[in-house]
Amino acid sequence: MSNQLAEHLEFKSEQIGSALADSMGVILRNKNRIGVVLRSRNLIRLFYEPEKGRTIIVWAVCGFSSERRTLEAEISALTNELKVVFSPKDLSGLMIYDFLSSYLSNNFYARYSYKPLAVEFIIGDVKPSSVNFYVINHDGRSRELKNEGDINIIGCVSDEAKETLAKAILSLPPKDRPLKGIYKNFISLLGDLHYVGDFTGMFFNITAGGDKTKKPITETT
Amino acid sequence: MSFSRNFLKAKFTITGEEKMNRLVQFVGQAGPNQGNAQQGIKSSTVVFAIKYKGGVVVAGDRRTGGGYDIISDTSVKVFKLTPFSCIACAGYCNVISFIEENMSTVCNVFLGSYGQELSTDGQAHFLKTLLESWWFFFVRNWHWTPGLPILATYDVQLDRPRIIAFDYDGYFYEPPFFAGTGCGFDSIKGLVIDRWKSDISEEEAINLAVRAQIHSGAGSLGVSDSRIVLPTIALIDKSGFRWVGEGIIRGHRDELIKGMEGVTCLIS
Repeated sequence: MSNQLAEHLEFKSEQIGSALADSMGVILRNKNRIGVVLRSRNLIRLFYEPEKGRTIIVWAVCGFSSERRTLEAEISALTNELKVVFSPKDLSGLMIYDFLSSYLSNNFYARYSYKPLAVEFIIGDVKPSSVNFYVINHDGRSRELKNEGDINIIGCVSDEAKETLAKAILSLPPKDRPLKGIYKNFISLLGDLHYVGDFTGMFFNITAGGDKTKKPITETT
Repeated sequence: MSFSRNFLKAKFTITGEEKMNRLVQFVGQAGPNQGNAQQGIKSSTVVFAIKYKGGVVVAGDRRTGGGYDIISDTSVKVFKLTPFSCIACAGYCNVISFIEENMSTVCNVFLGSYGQELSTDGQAHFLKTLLESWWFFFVRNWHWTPGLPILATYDVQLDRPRIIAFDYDGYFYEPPFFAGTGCGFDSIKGLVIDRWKSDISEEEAINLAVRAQIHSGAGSLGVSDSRIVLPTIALIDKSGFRWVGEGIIRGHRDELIKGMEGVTCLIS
Protein backbone atom coordinates (compact mmCIF):
# COMPACT_ATOMS: atom_id res chain seq x y z
CA MET A 1 0.00 0.00 0.00
CA SER A 2 2.80 2.38 0.85
CA ASN A 3 4.33 2.11 -2.64
CA GLN A 4 0.99 2.76 -4.28
CA LEU A 5 0.44 5.76 -2.11
CA ALA A 6 3.87 7.15 -2.73
CA GLU A 7 3.29 6.90 -6.45
CA HIS A 8 -0.09 8.50 -6.19
CA LEU A 9 1.00 11.29 -3.94
CA GLU A 10 4.00 12.45 -5.88
CA PHE A 11 4.78 14.54 -2.90
CA LYS A 12 7.96 16.27 -2.00
CA SER A 13 8.68 14.15 1.02
CA GLU A 14 11.00 16.57 2.75
CA GLN A 15 8.58 19.45 2.52
CA ILE A 16 5.57 17.55 3.77
CA GLY A 17 7.57 15.57 6.27
CA SER A 18 8.87 18.67 7.98
CA ALA A 19 5.42 20.21 8.01
CA LEU A 20 3.92 17.11 9.52
CA ALA A 21 6.57 16.81 12.18
CA ASP A 22 4.54 18.94 14.54
CA SER A 23 0.78 18.62 14.49
CA MET A 24 -2.02 17.74 12.16
CA GLY A 25 -5.54 16.42 11.95
CA VAL A 26 -7.52 14.65 9.26
CA ILE A 27 -11.28 14.44 9.11
CA LEU A 28 -13.15 12.50 6.46
CA ARG A 29 -16.82 11.86 5.82
CA ASN A 30 -17.88 8.64 4.11
CA LYS A 31 -21.29 7.29 3.35
CA ASN A 32 -21.90 5.82 6.79
CA ARG A 33 -19.32 7.33 9.10
CA ILE A 34 -17.07 10.21 9.92
CA GLY A 35 -13.47 9.55 10.87
CA VAL A 36 -11.10 11.83 12.73
CA VAL A 37 -7.40 11.11 13.13
CA LEU A 38 -5.20 13.51 15.02
CA ARG A 39 -1.63 13.92 16.06
CA SER A 40 -0.50 16.92 17.98
CA ARG A 41 2.09 17.75 20.56
CA ASN A 42 -0.43 19.61 22.62
CA LEU A 43 -3.74 18.25 21.48
CA ILE A 44 -6.68 19.62 23.44
CA ARG A 45 -9.90 17.69 23.55
CA LEU A 46 -12.90 19.25 25.25
CA PHE A 47 -15.93 17.09 25.85
CA TYR A 48 -19.34 18.42 26.76
CA GLU A 49 -22.43 16.44 27.47
CA PRO A 50 -25.19 19.05 27.54
CA GLU A 51 -27.87 16.41 27.58
CA LYS A 52 -28.18 12.67 27.75
CA GLY A 53 -27.12 11.02 24.53
CA ARG A 54 -25.43 14.09 23.11
CA THR A 55 -21.73 14.88 23.10
CA ILE A 56 -19.90 17.92 21.80
CA ILE A 57 -16.21 17.44 21.14
CA VAL A 58 -13.71 20.16 20.36
CA TRP A 59 -10.25 19.30 19.16
CA ALA A 60 -7.71 22.07 18.97
CA VAL A 61 -4.55 21.25 17.09
CA CYS A 62 -1.38 23.15 16.28
CA GLY A 63 -0.63 26.58 17.58
CA PHE A 64 1.17 27.78 20.62
CA SER A 65 0.06 26.05 23.78
CA SER A 66 -0.68 29.46 25.31
CA GLU A 67 -3.04 30.25 22.45
CA ARG A 68 -4.81 26.95 22.88
CA ARG A 69 -5.18 27.51 26.59
CA THR A 70 -6.62 30.98 25.93
CA LEU A 71 -9.21 29.57 23.58
CA GLU A 72 -9.99 26.76 25.99
CA ALA A 73 -10.68 29.40 28.63
CA GLU A 74 -12.82 31.35 26.17
CA ILE A 75 -14.94 28.29 25.45
CA SER A 76 -15.36 27.70 29.18
CA ALA A 77 -16.44 31.33 29.60
CA LEU A 78 -18.98 30.87 26.82
CA THR A 79 -20.47 27.78 28.42
CA ASN A 80 -20.61 29.45 31.83
CA GLU A 81 -22.34 32.50 30.40
CA LEU A 82 -24.76 30.20 28.63
CA LYS A 83 -25.73 28.64 31.96
CA VAL A 84 -26.74 32.08 33.22
CA VAL A 85 -28.57 33.38 30.15
CA PHE A 86 -30.05 30.12 28.85
CA SER A 87 -29.22 26.58 29.91
CA PRO A 88 -26.36 24.12 29.40
CA LYS A 89 -28.84 22.02 27.42
CA ASP A 90 -28.84 24.71 24.75
CA LEU A 91 -25.15 24.37 24.00
CA SER A 92 -24.56 23.00 20.51
CA GLY A 93 -21.58 22.34 18.29
CA LEU A 94 -22.85 25.02 15.94
CA MET A 95 -22.76 27.55 18.77
CA ILE A 96 -19.12 26.78 19.56
CA TYR A 97 -18.35 26.77 15.85
CA ASP A 98 -19.87 30.26 15.46
CA PHE A 99 -18.10 31.51 18.53
CA LEU A 100 -14.64 30.23 17.59
CA SER A 101 -14.99 31.24 13.97
CA SER A 102 -15.94 34.75 14.98
CA TYR A 103 -13.20 34.85 17.63
CA LEU A 104 -10.48 33.79 15.23
CA SER A 105 -11.72 36.09 12.45
CA ASN A 106 -11.44 39.05 14.77
CA ASN A 107 -8.29 37.99 16.56
CA PHE A 108 -5.39 40.13 15.48
CA TYR A 109 -2.80 37.70 16.75
CA ALA A 110 -4.19 34.67 14.97
CA ARG A 111 -4.70 36.52 11.71
CA TYR A 112 -1.18 37.80 11.48
CA SER A 113 0.76 35.10 13.22
CA TYR A 114 2.81 32.62 11.28
CA LYS A 115 0.34 30.13 9.87
CA PRO A 116 1.76 26.84 11.15
CA LEU A 117 1.79 28.18 14.66
CA ALA A 118 -1.86 29.21 14.71
CA VAL A 119 -4.47 27.03 16.32
CA GLU A 120 -7.08 25.23 14.21
CA PHE A 121 -10.18 23.33 15.26
CA ILE A 122 -12.34 20.33 14.58
CA ILE A 123 -15.73 20.48 16.29
CA GLY A 124 -18.08 17.55 16.51
CA ASP A 125 -21.70 17.51 17.65
CA VAL A 126 -22.76 13.89 18.07
CA LYS A 127 -26.37 12.96 18.82
CA PRO A 128 -28.20 9.69 18.32
CA SER A 129 -30.14 11.28 15.47
CA SER A 130 -27.40 13.32 13.82
CA VAL A 131 -23.66 13.74 13.50
CA ASN A 132 -22.32 17.17 12.55
CA PHE A 133 -18.69 18.10 12.17
CA TYR A 134 -17.09 21.45 11.48
CA VAL A 135 -13.55 22.57 10.75
CA ILE A 136 -12.16 26.03 11.48
CA ASN A 137 -8.85 27.25 10.13
CA HIS A 138 -6.53 29.58 11.99
CA ASP A 139 -7.96 32.70 10.30
CA GLY A 140 -11.59 31.84 11.04
CA ARG A 141 -12.36 30.25 7.66
CA SER A 142 -14.69 27.42 8.37
CA ARG A 143 -16.72 24.70 6.78
CA GLU A 144 -19.06 21.90 7.65
CA LEU A 145 -18.51 18.36 6.46
CA LYS A 146 -21.89 17.76 4.91
CA ASN A 147 -21.41 15.45 1.97
CA GLU A 148 -19.95 12.06 1.33
CA GLY A 149 -16.29 12.36 0.39
CA ASP A 150 -15.76 15.67 2.19
CA ILE A 151 -12.30 15.77 3.65
CA ASN A 152 -10.35 18.37 5.54
CA ILE A 153 -6.86 18.56 6.88
CA ILE A 154 -5.78 21.00 9.52
CA GLY A 155 -2.43 21.64 11.06
CA CYS A 156 1.09 22.75 10.32
CA VAL A 157 0.84 21.99 6.62
CA SER A 158 0.85 24.30 3.63
CA ASP A 159 -2.34 24.50 1.58
CA GLU A 160 -0.63 22.70 -1.26
CA ALA A 161 0.45 19.85 0.97
CA LYS A 162 -3.02 19.61 2.48
CA GLU A 163 -4.55 19.27 -0.96
CA THR A 164 -2.09 16.59 -2.00
CA LEU A 165 -2.66 14.64 1.16
CA ALA A 166 -6.43 14.90 0.81
CA LYS A 167 -6.29 13.47 -2.70
CA ALA A 168 -4.17 10.59 -1.50
CA ILE A 169 -6.54 9.73 1.32
CA LEU A 170 -9.56 9.87 -0.94
CA SER A 171 -7.90 7.41 -3.30
CA LEU A 172 -7.94 4.78 -0.56
CA PRO A 173 -11.74 4.14 -0.84
CA PRO A 174 -12.17 3.69 2.89
CA LYS A 175 -15.94 3.37 2.63
CA ASP A 176 -15.45 -0.20 1.43
CA ARG A 177 -13.37 -1.19 4.42
CA PRO A 178 -14.21 -2.10 7.97
CA LEU A 179 -14.12 0.57 10.65
CA LYS A 180 -10.77 -0.34 12.16
CA GLY A 181 -9.33 -0.79 8.71
CA ILE A 182 -9.91 2.84 7.90
CA TYR A 183 -8.11 3.85 11.05
CA LYS A 184 -5.15 1.64 10.27
CA ASN A 185 -5.01 3.03 6.76
CA PHE A 186 -4.80 6.52 8.10
CA ILE A 187 -2.00 5.58 10.44
CA SER A 188 -0.19 3.72 7.73
CA LEU A 189 -0.53 6.64 5.37
CA LEU A 190 0.83 9.06 7.91
CA GLY A 191 3.71 6.71 8.63
CA ASP A 192 4.58 6.80 4.93
CA LEU A 193 4.88 10.53 5.27
CA HIS A 194 7.53 10.16 7.99
CA TYR A 195 4.92 11.21 10.47
CA VAL A 196 5.36 9.31 13.68
CA GLY A 197 4.13 9.76 17.20
CA ASP A 198 0.91 9.38 19.17
CA PHE A 199 -2.28 9.25 17.17
CA THR A 200 -5.86 9.54 18.26
CA GLY A 201 -8.66 8.28 16.12
CA MET A 202 -12.43 8.43 16.48
CA PHE A 203 -15.12 7.16 14.15
CA PHE A 204 -18.76 8.05 14.31
CA ASN A 205 -21.54 6.19 12.60
CA ILE A 206 -24.01 8.39 10.78
CA THR A 207 -27.51 7.17 11.57
CA ALA A 208 -30.76 8.50 10.19
CA GLY A 209 -33.19 6.97 12.68
CA GLY A 210 -31.11 7.53 15.72
CA ASP A 211 -31.75 4.24 17.47
CA LYS A 212 -28.74 2.18 16.51
CA THR A 213 -25.77 4.44 16.99
CA LYS A 214 -22.69 2.45 17.81
CA LYS A 215 -20.30 3.62 20.44
CA PRO A 216 -17.44 5.56 18.85
CA ILE A 217 -14.13 3.77 18.67
CA THR A 218 -11.34 5.65 20.36
CA GLU A 219 -7.87 4.36 19.94
CA THR A 220 -4.44 5.71 20.68
CA THR A 221 -1.32 4.17 19.27
CA MET B 1 -35.22 46.28 25.73
CA SER B 2 -31.86 48.01 25.66
CA PHE B 3 -33.47 51.36 26.18
CA SER B 4 -35.42 50.09 29.17
CA ARG B 5 -32.41 48.53 30.74
CA ASN B 6 -30.20 51.53 30.10
CA PHE B 7 -32.87 53.81 31.40
CA LEU B 8 -33.21 51.78 34.58
CA LYS B 9 -29.50 51.55 35.04
CA ALA B 10 -29.12 55.29 34.60
CA LYS B 11 -31.95 55.93 37.00
CA PHE B 12 -31.09 53.49 39.73
CA THR B 13 -27.39 52.89 39.47
CA ILE B 14 -26.44 55.18 42.27
CA THR B 15 -23.99 54.40 44.99
CA GLY B 16 -23.94 54.64 48.77
CA GLU B 17 -26.15 56.92 50.79
CA GLU B 18 -27.71 58.63 47.80
CA LYS B 19 -28.98 55.28 46.55
CA MET B 20 -30.70 54.54 49.83
CA ASN B 21 -32.20 58.04 50.07
CA ARG B 22 -33.60 57.88 46.57
CA LEU B 23 -35.05 54.42 47.10
CA VAL B 24 -36.76 55.48 50.32
CA GLN B 25 -38.11 58.60 48.61
CA PHE B 26 -39.29 56.58 45.61
CA VAL B 27 -41.06 53.95 47.66
CA GLY B 28 -42.67 56.66 49.77
CA GLN B 29 -44.18 58.40 46.77
CA ALA B 30 -46.67 55.70 45.87
CA GLY B 31 -47.70 52.77 48.01
CA PRO B 32 -49.83 49.82 46.98
CA ASN B 33 -53.16 51.52 47.48
CA GLN B 34 -52.37 54.93 46.12
CA GLY B 35 -53.93 56.30 42.97
CA ASN B 36 -50.74 56.61 41.00
CA ALA B 37 -50.25 52.87 40.97
CA GLN B 38 -53.83 52.14 39.95
CA GLN B 39 -54.05 54.28 36.84
CA GLY B 40 -51.82 52.26 34.52
CA ILE B 41 -53.41 49.97 31.95
CA LYS B 42 -53.04 46.48 33.26
CA SER B 43 -54.28 43.06 32.52
CA SER B 44 -56.78 42.37 35.28
CA THR B 45 -56.29 38.73 35.10
CA VAL B 46 -56.40 35.15 36.02
CA VAL B 47 -54.09 32.89 34.06
CA PHE B 48 -53.13 29.42 35.15
CA ALA B 49 -51.75 26.12 33.94
CA ILE B 50 -52.81 22.63 35.05
CA LYS B 51 -50.99 19.42 34.24
CA TYR B 52 -52.95 16.44 33.00
CA LYS B 53 -51.94 12.99 31.88
CA GLY B 54 -49.61 13.67 28.94
CA GLY B 55 -49.78 17.44 28.76
CA VAL B 56 -50.64 20.77 30.24
CA VAL B 57 -53.70 22.98 29.84
CA VAL B 58 -53.23 26.77 29.96
CA ALA B 59 -56.16 29.12 30.46
CA GLY B 60 -56.62 32.87 30.63
CA ASP B 61 -59.49 35.32 30.95
CA ARG B 62 -59.98 38.21 28.50
CA ARG B 63 -60.10 41.44 30.50
CA THR B 64 -57.76 44.44 30.37
CA GLY B 65 -58.49 47.29 32.75
CA GLY B 66 -57.23 50.81 33.38
CA GLY B 67 -58.13 52.30 36.71
CA TYR B 68 -61.89 51.85 37.02
CA ASP B 69 -62.36 51.38 33.25
CA ILE B 70 -62.55 48.20 31.27
CA ILE B 71 -60.23 48.76 28.32
CA SER B 72 -60.93 45.46 26.61
CA ASP B 73 -62.79 42.22 27.21
CA THR B 74 -61.25 40.43 24.23
CA SER B 75 -57.57 40.28 25.21
CA VAL B 76 -55.70 37.03 24.66
CA LYS B 77 -53.28 36.42 27.49
CA VAL B 78 -51.85 33.07 26.48
CA PHE B 79 -48.94 33.62 24.11
CA LYS B 80 -47.33 30.88 22.08
CA LEU B 81 -43.52 30.99 22.14
CA THR B 82 -42.39 27.82 20.40
CA PRO B 83 -44.24 24.78 19.04
CA PHE B 84 -44.00 23.30 22.56
CA SER B 85 -44.25 26.25 24.91
CA CYS B 86 -46.29 29.30 25.84
CA ILE B 87 -46.39 31.99 28.49
CA ALA B 88 -49.34 33.61 30.21
CA CYS B 89 -48.94 36.86 32.14
CA ALA B 90 -50.78 39.12 34.55
CA GLY B 91 -50.02 42.73 35.33
CA TYR B 92 -49.10 45.93 33.56
CA CYS B 93 -49.46 45.69 29.79
CA ASN B 94 -46.15 47.38 29.06
CA VAL B 95 -44.30 44.71 31.03
CA ILE B 96 -46.35 41.91 29.47
CA SER B 97 -45.68 43.13 25.93
CA PHE B 98 -42.01 43.60 26.82
CA ILE B 99 -41.82 40.01 28.02
CA GLU B 100 -43.77 38.61 25.07
CA GLU B 101 -41.76 40.47 22.43
CA ASN B 102 -38.41 39.61 23.93
CA MET B 103 -39.24 35.98 24.60
CA SER B 104 -40.65 35.56 21.10
CA THR B 105 -37.61 37.21 19.55
CA VAL B 106 -35.06 35.19 21.48
CA CYS B 107 -36.84 31.90 20.73
CA ASN B 108 -37.00 32.69 16.99
CA VAL B 109 -33.44 33.96 16.81
CA PHE B 110 -32.12 30.94 18.68
CA LEU B 111 -33.95 28.57 16.35
CA GLY B 112 -32.74 30.48 13.29
CA SER B 113 -29.15 30.65 14.47
CA TYR B 114 -28.61 27.18 15.86
CA GLY B 115 -31.31 25.07 14.24
CA GLN B 116 -32.79 23.89 17.53
CA GLU B 117 -35.53 25.13 19.82
CA LEU B 118 -34.48 26.92 22.98
CA SER B 119 -34.90 24.42 25.81
CA THR B 120 -37.47 24.84 28.59
CA ASP B 121 -34.71 25.64 31.07
CA GLY B 122 -33.21 28.11 28.62
CA GLN B 123 -36.54 29.89 28.24
CA ALA B 124 -36.98 30.01 32.02
CA HIS B 125 -33.50 31.46 32.58
CA PHE B 126 -33.95 34.10 29.92
CA LEU B 127 -37.37 35.05 31.29
CA LYS B 128 -35.77 35.46 34.69
CA THR B 129 -33.27 37.97 33.29
CA LEU B 130 -36.13 39.92 31.67
CA LEU B 131 -38.02 40.13 34.96
CA GLU B 132 -34.99 41.39 36.81
CA SER B 133 -35.23 44.64 34.82
CA TRP B 134 -38.56 45.43 36.45
CA TRP B 135 -37.60 44.92 40.09
CA PHE B 136 -38.64 48.45 41.09
CA PHE B 137 -42.28 47.76 40.21
CA PHE B 138 -42.44 45.23 42.99
CA VAL B 139 -41.36 47.74 45.56
CA ARG B 140 -44.37 49.92 44.96
CA ASN B 141 -47.13 47.54 43.91
CA TRP B 142 -48.94 44.38 44.76
CA HIS B 143 -46.89 41.42 43.79
CA TRP B 144 -48.98 40.38 40.78
CA THR B 145 -49.33 43.76 39.08
CA PRO B 146 -45.96 44.05 37.36
CA GLY B 147 -46.58 41.11 35.05
CA LEU B 148 -45.72 37.83 36.64
CA PRO B 149 -45.64 35.15 33.98
CA ILE B 150 -46.08 31.42 34.04
CA LEU B 151 -44.27 29.30 31.51
CA ALA B 152 -45.94 26.09 30.33
CA THR B 153 -44.13 23.65 28.08
CA TYR B 154 -43.90 20.11 26.94
CA ASP B 155 -40.23 19.33 27.47
CA VAL B 156 -39.24 17.26 24.46
CA GLN B 157 -35.88 16.35 25.97
CA LEU B 158 -37.39 15.06 29.22
CA ASP B 159 -40.57 13.86 27.51
CA ARG B 160 -42.96 15.35 30.07
CA PRO B 161 -45.10 18.47 30.56
CA ARG B 162 -43.67 21.22 32.74
CA ILE B 163 -45.01 24.34 34.42
CA ILE B 164 -42.66 27.02 35.68
CA ALA B 165 -43.86 29.85 37.90
CA PHE B 166 -41.98 33.08 38.60
CA ASP B 167 -41.68 35.10 41.73
CA TYR B 168 -41.63 38.89 41.67
CA ASP B 169 -37.85 39.07 41.95
CA GLY B 170 -37.17 36.76 39.01
CA TYR B 171 -36.83 33.59 41.08
CA PHE B 172 -38.56 30.67 39.40
CA TYR B 173 -39.70 27.28 40.59
CA GLU B 174 -41.50 24.27 39.21
CA PRO B 175 -44.74 23.43 41.05
CA PRO B 176 -45.88 19.82 40.78
CA PHE B 177 -49.14 20.22 38.84
CA PHE B 178 -50.66 23.70 39.02
CA ALA B 179 -49.57 27.34 38.91
CA GLY B 180 -51.19 30.64 38.13
CA THR B 181 -51.11 34.36 38.62
CA GLY B 182 -53.33 37.43 38.56
CA CYS B 183 -55.83 39.11 40.85
CA GLY B 184 -58.36 36.30 40.38
CA PHE B 185 -55.94 33.51 41.17
CA ASP B 186 -56.53 33.44 44.91
CA SER B 187 -60.20 32.57 44.40
CA ILE B 188 -59.45 29.39 42.40
CA LYS B 189 -56.42 27.92 44.18
CA GLY B 190 -58.43 25.76 46.54
CA LEU B 191 -60.89 24.75 43.85
CA VAL B 192 -58.26 23.40 41.46
CA ILE B 193 -56.19 21.73 44.18
CA ASP B 194 -59.30 20.05 45.54
CA ARG B 195 -60.48 18.67 42.21
CA TRP B 196 -57.19 17.76 40.56
CA LYS B 197 -56.05 14.14 40.46
CA SER B 198 -52.89 12.57 39.13
CA ASP B 199 -54.59 10.66 36.30
CA ILE B 200 -56.80 13.53 35.16
CA SER B 201 -57.58 13.30 31.45
CA GLU B 202 -57.34 16.04 28.84
CA GLU B 203 -61.13 16.42 28.77
CA GLU B 204 -61.35 16.63 32.55
CA ALA B 205 -58.52 19.17 32.66
CA ILE B 206 -60.31 21.43 30.15
CA ASN B 207 -63.48 21.09 32.23
CA LEU B 208 -61.59 22.02 35.39
CA ALA B 209 -60.02 25.03 33.65
CA VAL B 210 -63.42 26.31 32.51
CA ARG B 211 -64.85 25.76 36.00
CA ALA B 212 -61.98 27.73 37.52
CA GLN B 213 -62.48 30.55 35.02
CA ILE B 214 -66.16 30.81 35.96
CA HIS B 215 -65.28 30.92 39.66
CA SER B 216 -62.59 33.50 39.08
CA GLY B 217 -64.97 35.74 37.11
CA ALA B 218 -67.39 35.54 40.04
CA GLY B 219 -64.71 36.12 42.67
CA SER B 220 -62.66 38.95 41.20
CA LEU B 221 -63.73 42.29 39.80
CA GLY B 222 -60.77 42.36 37.43
CA VAL B 223 -61.52 39.06 35.67
CA SER B 224 -63.86 38.82 32.70
CA ASP B 225 -67.14 36.97 33.29
CA SER B 226 -66.98 33.63 31.49
CA ARG B 227 -70.75 33.67 31.04
CA ILE B 228 -70.36 36.67 28.72
CA VAL B 229 -66.86 36.27 27.29
CA LEU B 230 -65.34 32.85 26.71
CA PRO B 231 -61.86 32.37 28.18
CA THR B 232 -58.96 31.27 26.01
CA ILE B 233 -57.65 27.77 26.62
CA ALA B 234 -54.66 26.05 25.03
CA LEU B 235 -53.16 22.58 25.30
CA ILE B 236 -49.53 21.55 25.03
CA ASP B 237 -48.69 17.89 24.74
CA LYS B 238 -46.38 15.61 22.79
CA SER B 239 -47.86 16.84 19.51
CA GLY B 240 -47.27 20.49 20.42
CA PHE B 241 -49.23 23.63 21.20
CA ARG B 242 -52.86 23.95 20.07
CA TRP B 243 -55.86 26.09 20.95
CA VAL B 244 -59.03 24.56 22.30
CA GLY B 245 -61.95 25.49 20.05
CA GLU B 246 -64.60 27.93 21.23
CA GLY B 247 -67.31 25.34 20.69
CA ILE B 248 -65.68 22.97 23.15
CA ILE B 249 -65.18 25.71 25.75
CA ARG B 250 -68.76 26.91 25.30
CA GLY B 251 -70.05 23.34 25.72
CA HIS B 252 -68.18 22.91 29.00
CA ARG B 253 -69.23 26.34 30.26
CA ASP B 254 -72.92 25.85 29.51
CA GLU B 255 -72.91 22.46 31.13
CA LEU B 256 -71.10 23.69 34.23
CA ILE B 257 -73.23 26.80 34.71
CA LYS B 258 -76.33 24.62 35.06
CA GLY B 259 -74.91 23.00 38.17
CA MET B 260 -73.48 26.14 39.77
CA GLU B 261 -76.36 27.54 41.73
CA GLY B 262 -74.13 29.30 44.23
CA VAL B 263 -72.05 31.07 41.60
CA THR B 264 -75.12 31.96 39.54
CA CYS B 265 -76.82 33.38 42.60
CA LEU B 266 -73.71 35.40 43.42
CA ILE B 267 -73.24 37.06 40.05
CA SER B 268 -76.80 37.35 38.69
